[in-house]
Amino acid sequence: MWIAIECRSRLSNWQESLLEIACAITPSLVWHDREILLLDVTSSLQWLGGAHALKRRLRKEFSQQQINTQVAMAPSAMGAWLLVIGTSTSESWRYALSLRRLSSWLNDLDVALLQAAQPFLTWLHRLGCRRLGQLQSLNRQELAQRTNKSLIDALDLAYGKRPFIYKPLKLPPRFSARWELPYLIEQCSDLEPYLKRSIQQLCQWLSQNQLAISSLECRLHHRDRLRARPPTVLNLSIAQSTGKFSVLWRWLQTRLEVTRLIACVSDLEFLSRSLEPSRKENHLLFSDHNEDVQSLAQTLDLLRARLGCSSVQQPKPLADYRPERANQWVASSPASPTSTPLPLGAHCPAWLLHSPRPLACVQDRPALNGPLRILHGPYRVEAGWWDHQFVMRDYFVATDTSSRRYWIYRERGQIQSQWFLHGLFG
Amino acid sequence: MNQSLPDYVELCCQSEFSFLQGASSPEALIARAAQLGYRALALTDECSVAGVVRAWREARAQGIKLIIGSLLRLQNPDSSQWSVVVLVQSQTGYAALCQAITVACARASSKGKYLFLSEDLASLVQCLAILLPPPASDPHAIPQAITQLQQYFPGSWWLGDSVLLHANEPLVRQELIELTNTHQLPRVAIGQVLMAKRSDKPLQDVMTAIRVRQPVQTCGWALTPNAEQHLRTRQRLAQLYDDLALEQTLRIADRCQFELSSLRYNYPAEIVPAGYSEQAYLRQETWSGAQIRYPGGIPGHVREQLNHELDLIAELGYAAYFLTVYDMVRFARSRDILCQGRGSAANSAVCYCLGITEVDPQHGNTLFERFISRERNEPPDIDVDFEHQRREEVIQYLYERYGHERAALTAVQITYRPRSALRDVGKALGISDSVIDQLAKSQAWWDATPTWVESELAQRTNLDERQIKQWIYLSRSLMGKARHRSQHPGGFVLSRDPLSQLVPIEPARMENRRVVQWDKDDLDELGLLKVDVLALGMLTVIRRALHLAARRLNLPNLRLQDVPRNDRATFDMISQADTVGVFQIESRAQMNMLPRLKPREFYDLVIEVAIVRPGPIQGGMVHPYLRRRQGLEPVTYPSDSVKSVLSRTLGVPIFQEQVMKLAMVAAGFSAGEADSLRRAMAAWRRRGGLDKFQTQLIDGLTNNGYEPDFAQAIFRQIEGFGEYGFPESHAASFAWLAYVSAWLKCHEPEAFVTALLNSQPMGFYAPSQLIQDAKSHGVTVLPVDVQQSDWESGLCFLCQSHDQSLRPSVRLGLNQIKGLPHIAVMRILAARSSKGFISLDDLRLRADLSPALLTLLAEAGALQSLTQHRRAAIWNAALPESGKGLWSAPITSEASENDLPIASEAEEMSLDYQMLGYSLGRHPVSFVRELLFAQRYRTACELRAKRQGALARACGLVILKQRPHTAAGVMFVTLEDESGSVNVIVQPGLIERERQTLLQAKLLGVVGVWQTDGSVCHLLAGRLIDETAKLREIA
Repeated sequence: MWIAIECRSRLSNWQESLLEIACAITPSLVWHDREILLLDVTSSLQWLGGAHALKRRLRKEFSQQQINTQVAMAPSAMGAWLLVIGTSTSESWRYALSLRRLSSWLNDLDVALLQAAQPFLTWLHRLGCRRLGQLQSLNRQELAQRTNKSLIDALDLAYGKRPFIYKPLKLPPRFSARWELPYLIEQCSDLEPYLKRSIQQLCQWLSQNQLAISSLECRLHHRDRLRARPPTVLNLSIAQSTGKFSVLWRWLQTRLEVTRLIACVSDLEFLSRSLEPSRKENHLLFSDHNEDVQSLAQTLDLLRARLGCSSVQQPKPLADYRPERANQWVASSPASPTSTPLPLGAHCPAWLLHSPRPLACVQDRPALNGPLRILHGPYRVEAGWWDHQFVMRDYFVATDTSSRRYWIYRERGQIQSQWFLHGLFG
Repeated sequence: MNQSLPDYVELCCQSEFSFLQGASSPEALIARAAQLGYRALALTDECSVAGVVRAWREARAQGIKLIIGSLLRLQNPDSSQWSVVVLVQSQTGYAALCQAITVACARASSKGKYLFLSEDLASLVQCLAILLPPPASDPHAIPQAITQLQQYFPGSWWLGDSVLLHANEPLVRQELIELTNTHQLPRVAIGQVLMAKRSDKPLQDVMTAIRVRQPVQTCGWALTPNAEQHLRTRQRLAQLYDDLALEQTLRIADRCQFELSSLRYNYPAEIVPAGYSEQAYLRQETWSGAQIRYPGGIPGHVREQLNHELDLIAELGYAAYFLTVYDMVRFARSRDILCQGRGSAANSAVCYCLGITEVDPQHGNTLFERFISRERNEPPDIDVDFEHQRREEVIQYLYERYGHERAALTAVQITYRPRSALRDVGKALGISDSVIDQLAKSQAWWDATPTWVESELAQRTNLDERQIKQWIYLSRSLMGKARHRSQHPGGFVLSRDPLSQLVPIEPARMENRRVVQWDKDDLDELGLLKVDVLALGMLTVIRRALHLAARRLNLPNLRLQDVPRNDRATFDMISQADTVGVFQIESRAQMNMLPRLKPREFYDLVIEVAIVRPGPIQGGMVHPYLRRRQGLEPVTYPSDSVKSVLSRTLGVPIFQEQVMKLAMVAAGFSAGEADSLRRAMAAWRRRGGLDKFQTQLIDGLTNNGYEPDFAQAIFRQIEGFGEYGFPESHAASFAWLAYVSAWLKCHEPEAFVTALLNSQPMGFYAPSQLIQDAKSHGVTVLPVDVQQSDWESGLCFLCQSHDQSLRPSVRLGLNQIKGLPHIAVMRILAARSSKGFISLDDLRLRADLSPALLTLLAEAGALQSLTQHRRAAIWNAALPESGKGLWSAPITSEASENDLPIASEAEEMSLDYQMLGYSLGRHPVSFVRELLFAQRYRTACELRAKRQGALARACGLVILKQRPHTAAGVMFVTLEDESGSVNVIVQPGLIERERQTLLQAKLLGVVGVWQTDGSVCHLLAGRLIDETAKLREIA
């Protein structure tokens, strides 16, 4: 007996939730065309209390997870699949517990649903063959001569005349564990021994499976007599995957320092979000450059953990002639930044003012603590009409009496040209 | 003030002919340069001289010197790029440049690209070179470029110095100046101009974005940082450059002394037999032709006319031109290919005597000056139409005779049209594909000029107002800009010397075709010989129909001349507008005119052909003529001299010549001036320039005592002629073909429809309508049958005696089946010639047909005679081949155990439409008639009984949609149902409201008001309903 499930309302993690429900029913499952999950429940149906009990259970779980599904149950896998595909949205369940029932339903379905019939569809239509029943009633041998074997096979699979051979889904490794604390904990510091133990378990699991972790979710579940509270979630993502206790612990500790508990903690839960095979490196006799990179990455991780991702910034130059656009900074992320090559010989200071500062004008010359002397220029920029931030500027490199170098510009296109300071050279 | 400014010549300037680089037209650049007081301007498009003729024309008008050159990008072995501008000094230099461009284009991997190697520089004799500084050249490529240029251009090359205010410019210029010092090189100011005005920058950015296929927002450094690459004022240049660099531009300009007008073009020589001069040979052939044309002796005034024409031809040296066309026509005649000349020069007695045209000068009122004038040294123009299915033979003959070196096709510059502009600009502005698609699709084919309304766009899309303004503004600016170059369908340029000395030649996309870089107007301007080898489908139809009719009539052959003139029955048929398939007078507008004009003789047809044209319609000539013809208005003339010109057309000017002659007799124009007027008439919509004639004409007319109203009316008509007014000879040529085809339709309908079917695609109507029409005229049309049909459709005589009273039936050919290859049909015919097929297996074996081909035949219903019914044929045809050896097992019997149900009539009809595009069975609409009846739709036949102003509902297949721009935005739709067709008029307001319905509906329901004046009926649409879903249900 097979069950086919199609998810009609696709939330972001619908596949995970669906698998979670399905795994509890049977380990024999497989994704088929059009993202339909097929479950072989032949061996577990008895244990689950029969078809009707299974239906009740699934309905309940789907409604709990708020998944809108289309389900069919049939003696053949492809039969169940076709029933799901060929069913209108109004009814969400279809049963065909016997082969006879299945074939009477299949007979009414459109030939086009059968993938193998696609190459012959026009031909079949021209023969007046539009339903699976009509196709089934044609002489098999002659049909095979005129079409191909895969069409016949597909028909047989659907009508349960051939076994469905498949490779069961292998679920990716995942760490998920929840521990109940012996008593309710109010202080973060009191959590430390339990968290330490949990991380040790995680590290043990990682080394057993030869894995390293780069993203982890730690949930602190609360118990409050007055009202239900969502768990406090601590998200970890680090630049280089690791299985080391010390690294993970240091991170968690840092996060804990800046976390305030909203209520007593009753349970701890760890969920792995991103796992990679662990890389065992040979130790060198002398330390190499690699370590510096690692330590930089670790420092950045630490900074991000302590200050928050948005507080650590990195440059992300953009190909645009307007300096304030070209000179962009974004929140630093563990993924390596992509660089944009600068135009040949462009010289603009990396240090731009947040917004250009108007300069005073003394005897028609720009002044900043005294008149400025122009060294180079102009470099003319006329760009940005496309996003309605059109600029018309002449840039100059200027210097003052103390030989500091400034990047200044004159706004063009106005009756009285105005000078601005835009950047400083280091 | 002006005196103190330095003189300047811009030596690097790219126009829109450097596709998607330059933003301005050559004319705009020249005009701007003249306005700024530049001494000269060099037009240097990338590997192209396509824009030079236009620039030259404008330069003459503006009185500024034009230098011709080209920008070439070269690659060093280390793949660093550098660019050089090459300027021609003399005619030799120009020829060398054209040759070099031709070679570079031929070397490229694909059309529109080129590969110029540094060795090619050696061939550029008498040219000057300027090395472009960065960013046009890679900085590290420059030393190598200097070595190359030193080698190939000793003493005649410069280092370009550009001040474009780029970020790194001071550094780059510093290095360049050091280079000039170390190598002792001369340095010249150069602007690398891409646009005429600073304000063209957004358009230039959009072009760049289209070129690099990215939205302009993400183009980044591919754009230029500022708009300095425009034609700058001399004042500005004086601030930016030193005097030395500016002065060098003048020196270079002084060394470039080439003028396009000095190009010497020679007509091909081989057309004349040895020992003859061109003129003598033309004279001899003309007179001997005249003897044949007038076996009873040449009439006196024709003799006079011939002498006059031959003298003028001799004086202007056009004999070779006439002989070239004569040679081509003679070839076609020898191969039995029908052809007919038209075009401006075909109006001559010489052409008639040489057999190029069929319009007898004896009856015509020919005006030789119309095509040749002493005052304007422009070549005459003769277009020759050939049978469209055999034109290729003529083209191959030309290539054979003149060689690929000396014969090439004319170019057509493809420009941006509303829809393509909207699409490309939309993409460049980063607007999502779906929005662009939505909008471009709503921009229907009938919108000749864009009707973009901002509010409407805002409603349809969720773009903000500024974005929409930008989109529209830029799309409008982009419209009309050159997009790429394509080939003219039949315009040939022929010359005595290799063409690539005159103009660069590029390979065309079609195998073995090569295209010059200039279009028709450019060639005209320079007096290069151009012969139009055009294709006319109707000639094919007439030849085929005459051939078939001869068979029916048991005649050895039937020629065009044998068709009886002034046949009453034919004119009766024409007067009833029963003209589906007839040449020229089958369009909706013509069919509406025919019952009103009621042609009774040949000249009426000439007028009919000429009057239903945008020219006379816009000039408001149609209704006065009709009223006068129907006797509702007296025929009057403002003076006797006008009467002499207009008496043939009841005082209303209809033909181009009449307008010209009127200008001559009434407004005092000379013959040459009148010809200039004609040329201006033909081109004013593209270029303008009619204003100067307006004052001359109106003043001339009023001075000679005519009413100002009359003068204005004449001028309005001249404007109208800009859109394809017909010269009389042209109209007469076409009317003759229209008459012959109408005669065939009237007396030989079977032969006519067969010939039409075999000559598809052509004309207004699809095979479906042609067959419907033939059936309604009592022609029996038999379906495609593998036992009976040939490759083409043919006539099927009932008995061998060819009894003339027994009409033959038409057997459709196997070529009607879409996708059936010719070679397979040849196998079928070869197998059938010995013995008919007895079964499907027999056909499969003997004709060696694959299951796919047999299935095609079965699906099209061509196997009906071999099987029980169509579905059984389809089933049995799909049986695979079971080995071809002698000993292979016999194929299983055809009798299938499956009892396939017989297809319903509607299914058969649907299959017919899928496979053939029409059905010989019931009309599709008849299947849904009951449904339509329930919705109170009436048949076309029932509607005809309605009175004027009655409310009516019609529903039918949409077979024709036309929106002529003379009809003030009105669209004409023809609906067809089982009883006939209904003509629907859709007003512009309704078109806008029901755009989607009009674009998509195959079966259209119309509710509206019935309009009739006795002979012509229309349904004025008030509401449109898409009923296509009904058809889908039954299939």
